[in-house]
Amino acid sequence: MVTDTDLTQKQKSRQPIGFDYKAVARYLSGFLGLVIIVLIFQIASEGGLLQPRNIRLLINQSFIIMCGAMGASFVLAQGNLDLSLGGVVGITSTLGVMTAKVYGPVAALAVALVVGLCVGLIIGSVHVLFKVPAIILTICMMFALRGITWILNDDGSIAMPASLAKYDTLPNKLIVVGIVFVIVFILFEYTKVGKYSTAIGANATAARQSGVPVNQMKVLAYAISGFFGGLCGFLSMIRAASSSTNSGSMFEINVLTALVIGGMSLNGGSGAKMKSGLIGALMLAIIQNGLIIWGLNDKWQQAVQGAILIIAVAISYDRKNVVVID
Amino acid sequence: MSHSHVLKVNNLSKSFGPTQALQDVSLVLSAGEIRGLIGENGSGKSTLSNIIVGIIKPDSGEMELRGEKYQPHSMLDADRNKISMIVQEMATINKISVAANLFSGQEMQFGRFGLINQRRMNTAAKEALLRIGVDWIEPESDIDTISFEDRKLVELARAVENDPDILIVDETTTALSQKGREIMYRIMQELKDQNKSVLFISHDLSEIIDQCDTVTVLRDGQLVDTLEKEQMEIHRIQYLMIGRNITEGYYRSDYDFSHSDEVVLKIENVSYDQLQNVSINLHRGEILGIGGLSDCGMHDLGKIAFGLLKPESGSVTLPARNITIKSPAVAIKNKIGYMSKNRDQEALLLSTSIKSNVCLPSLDILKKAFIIARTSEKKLANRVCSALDVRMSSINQHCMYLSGGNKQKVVVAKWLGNESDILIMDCPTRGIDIGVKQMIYQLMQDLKAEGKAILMISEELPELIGMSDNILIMKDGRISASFQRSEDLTEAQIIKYMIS
Repeated sequence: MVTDTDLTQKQKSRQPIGFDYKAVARYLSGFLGLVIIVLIFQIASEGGLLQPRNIRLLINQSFIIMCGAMGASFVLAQGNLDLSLGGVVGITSTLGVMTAKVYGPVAALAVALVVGLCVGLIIGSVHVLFKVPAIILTICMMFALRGITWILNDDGSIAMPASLAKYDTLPNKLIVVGIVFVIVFILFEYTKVGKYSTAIGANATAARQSGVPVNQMKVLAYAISGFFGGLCGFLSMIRAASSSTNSGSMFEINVLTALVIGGMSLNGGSGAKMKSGLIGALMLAIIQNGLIIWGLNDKWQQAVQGAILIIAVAISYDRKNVVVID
Repeated sequence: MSHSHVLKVNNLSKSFGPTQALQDVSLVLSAGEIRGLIGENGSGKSTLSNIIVGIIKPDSGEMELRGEKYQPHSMLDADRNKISMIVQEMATINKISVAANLFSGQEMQFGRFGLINQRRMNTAAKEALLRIGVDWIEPESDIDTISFEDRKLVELARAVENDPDILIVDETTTALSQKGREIMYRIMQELKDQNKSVLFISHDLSEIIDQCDTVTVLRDGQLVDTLEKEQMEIHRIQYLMIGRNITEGYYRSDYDFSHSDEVVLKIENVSYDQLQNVSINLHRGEILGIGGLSDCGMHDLGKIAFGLLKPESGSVTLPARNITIKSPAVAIKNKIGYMSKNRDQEALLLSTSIKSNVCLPSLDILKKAFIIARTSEKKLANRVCSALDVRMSSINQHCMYLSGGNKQKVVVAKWLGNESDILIMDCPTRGIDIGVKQMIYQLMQDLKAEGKAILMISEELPELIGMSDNILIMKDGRISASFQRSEDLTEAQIIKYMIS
């Protein structure tokens, strides 16, 4: 036997405790970032940020992004992106309004969810069957859906039946976010869907060799993302009381920014945490809202958001796994 | 013969994460010397040669070339300093001609006004090939169209063309037939006669003893000893490589090759790429070894058996359950496990916890309704990891921080946790230290005793002879010979069926 003490010692000395500072930083970045941002803007706005009226505004601003970001968690965990979400919101809110006018709100919700789901299935299937890179595919899908949204809205907007405005209440929003959170949390943390998705993001080849049906899971992840995108379309219709050519514009970038500043790793894998969407959406809303309270011209908003996204990605991106030829 | 020192290596150390690949290694290479470099997988041979040619930078230590400080920044840098290397893996560039490969990076010697004179380059390539005694490779042909062995010879011609003072041959001969080997040996001798030096890395002890003037043995990244020609003796070198005599409980000590007659996995007339009509029956309680050169098709066969590759014709079935293996998911559902040759790339999620890795193939067993409870994951991971004595801080540790041997234990743990009945092990002891190697061999015997079946694909003959009940040798995609477990079986008997 070779288990003499010296070898044992040597083997032990070869194994430092695996303390992954980056993982800890990423884990904390969500909560800590939220606290810091709240503190900064609370002080800067002289207490204006956490006024009840402003909190209501913050929730209004962020709850749809929260739902979209949580729904996209699986795609992100697989190391992919879904940039079609803005298009999905546009088309589903428009179709939602058109359906609601004739068949009422339940049918509108059903149509939004089914259309979103179908878009996700199409994206996933094309991605898997034709090996089109997801980022290109979802951007193209976004443009296609935006185009249809323009046509359906006839270059303008369609008003929602006024009777539906009564659903636009704060408790309803919190309930919806709560339900989405519970569903996604269980799926993500306690079922094969979430575990397989993070495994694919970590190493798709190894995942496949461990029995993960990689292609099916990719399609499923886009289907889930599309489904919740459809939900977001319905919610945005209720909130805006209409659909327009602008419905859902920038939504995909908002979701992406929320996820990244919430601590989601763009590489997927075990760095993916579904809470990122929740925290990140709130952080994004506070930053946008705070900057306005602070007096920043709203024309600067997009520039600031772009800068935030770049910084957040630079901090969280796992460069070790990226080959850069030097 | 002059004995002036060409290359002096002083106290080189290099670590990769927690693994000390090279520790305080010093050696002196003289002009006109053929130096053998030998050691087990992971002993640091390739790390050392890669440092010498500038692919890897050492953590500490320095080198002297012809009495001057030598710090290569790249292989090109080493080339300029007249040090050339032929590597184990394929180093030619696909989709361009043999000649273009031979002179890649130096095309401009045939150039004028930025245009390359193809005809002159082809003529020069032909001459370069003839210089090493190869007349059957056409310089115009696409490099992809010639065999792996011929590509190695092109690399050799390229290296010789550079007129190196030091030629490093890194485990190249395993890929060569006898004819190719002889060319390689002759070139080495010619260089020696010109007072040049050769650093010859090989797994093959008899080859080392025949060809080298001196041999340096590495073990666990440390230089153990350097032997002169008259001191070279197989058992002595083996002892130095391993640190003890290998007779004691390393491989199986029994010569009982009996196993059940029940066929658990049936590979029938499988063709894929170069594989042609390969049929294999794996029995309950059998360790079936498959050996051959690395490009003989045996690794693909392992993947086909696990459903990772779809054969062009033929099938893989489980006769007892009348099931065809079409995908890894089906294979796993039917209790087949697969350990890839490329552990870090294909078998593990390195940036993920040991727990997640171990549980991944077993989620279907762990789930109740559709929920997978944290506690049942922890229980499974703790149970198999402690059974295999994985050295870790906790099951939440990420796999990337483990040593090669412990990583391999995690891979084994995956399939133990899944209670696999059939294990396909592709190079199960590649790059792991002896302690873990021994543990894996013991485990294979235990699994056999429990009536499980093991398909072991291996590039190492001692392992095949030492562990298998039956050995199938493959060559060019076909099974060329089969052997039953026997005390009298030797590497020499087998090797002739591997190479032509």
